Amino acid sequence: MEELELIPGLNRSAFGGPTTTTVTQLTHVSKVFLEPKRREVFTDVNMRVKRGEFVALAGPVGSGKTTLVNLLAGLDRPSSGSIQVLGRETTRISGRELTSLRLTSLGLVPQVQNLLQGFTVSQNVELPLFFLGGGGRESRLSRVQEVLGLLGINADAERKVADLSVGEKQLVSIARAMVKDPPLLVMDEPTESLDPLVSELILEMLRGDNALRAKTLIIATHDKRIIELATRTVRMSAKIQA
Amino acid sequence: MRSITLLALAEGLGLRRTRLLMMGSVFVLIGSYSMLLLGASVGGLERLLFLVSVFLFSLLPTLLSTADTLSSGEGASVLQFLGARGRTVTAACLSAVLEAGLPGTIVGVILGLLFSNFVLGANGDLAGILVNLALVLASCTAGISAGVAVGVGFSWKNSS
Repeated sequence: MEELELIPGLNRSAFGGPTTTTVTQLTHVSKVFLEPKRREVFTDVNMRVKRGEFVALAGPVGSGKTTLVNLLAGLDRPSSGSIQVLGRETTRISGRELTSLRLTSLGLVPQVQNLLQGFTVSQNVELPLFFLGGGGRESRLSRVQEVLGLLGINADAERKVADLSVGEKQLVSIARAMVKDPPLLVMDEPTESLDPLVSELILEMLRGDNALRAKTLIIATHDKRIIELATRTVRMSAKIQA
Repeated sequence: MRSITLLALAEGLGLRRTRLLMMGSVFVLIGSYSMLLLGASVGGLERLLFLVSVFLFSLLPTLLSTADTLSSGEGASVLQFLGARGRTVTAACLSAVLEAGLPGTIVGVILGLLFSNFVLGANGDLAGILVNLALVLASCTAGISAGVAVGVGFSWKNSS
């Protein structure tokens, strides 16, 4: 595999991003939760996602989709096995390096939106750019405006997140993941709380980014439309445990 | 559109105006008593010990307040999730606490001077007062900075 160069900054084109073709690779990955009681979520998972792929993670509730998303995003560590994301072995790097990788190269839409309730919509979306540094206030705000416009929530830019509906919060979470234009987007049920029309718009945009700009998408979902759009579907099965 | 600043970030983390006002009032007390006692102290060792205690009295409320705010609020975990660095959060908290703490200390210092001159009838020379003022502000700033750094460090590690 080629050496990966991570370049923090704005407007990074997917074509000018990672030089590796493998974006993420899971090798013999297992996850066991020990509390409140021992539960084996999955064992010996092997998966390779190449640049430009659109992978849907499908499966029933309890099959470990969210756990897998958290592992891919470096929010959790596997019990065994190794995970490579954009050329970095995330199971071996320090917490600080993992944070940096998440900041520079990964857009994540979690199931729980994790927004700062006291901040406005635009401030929440601006946060990743603020942490990335580089570029002035004006360029940050213009990028925020651009992404909010793409998602059709420009008019809500000055509203406090606490005043938004669940669906609107989900759009803010998606905007926040997209604002730094990361080469890899990992999403957990992104369309769950959206109305069908808005879902269509989001899916069209994601599909366009994937097809035209080789952006890699990994989406955990129950949504049949996402599964149909994906270039590959990974089906996970629930383990029944006594 | 409103942009993010370090002060706004601190507010998002839970260091809101009321909490900062409370911290500011603590520093009014620290400032006034330190000027009174520093003016009355005579020996070098006595002054040094007194300045160490000003440092500690500045550090402890800052540390407890920062650590408590960050641990109980949602902010720290959200920022970690987004990939924020600890030093950015420290800078945000420090700017907010200094903004509240230093004016509080200055008000306290003025009150301390007024008390010592008009209530206690002390008449220190101007150079001595200015030296005391510099020492108190330096000790308070050092205490506040150390308190924020340790407070953020504690809560940042705990929420990762």
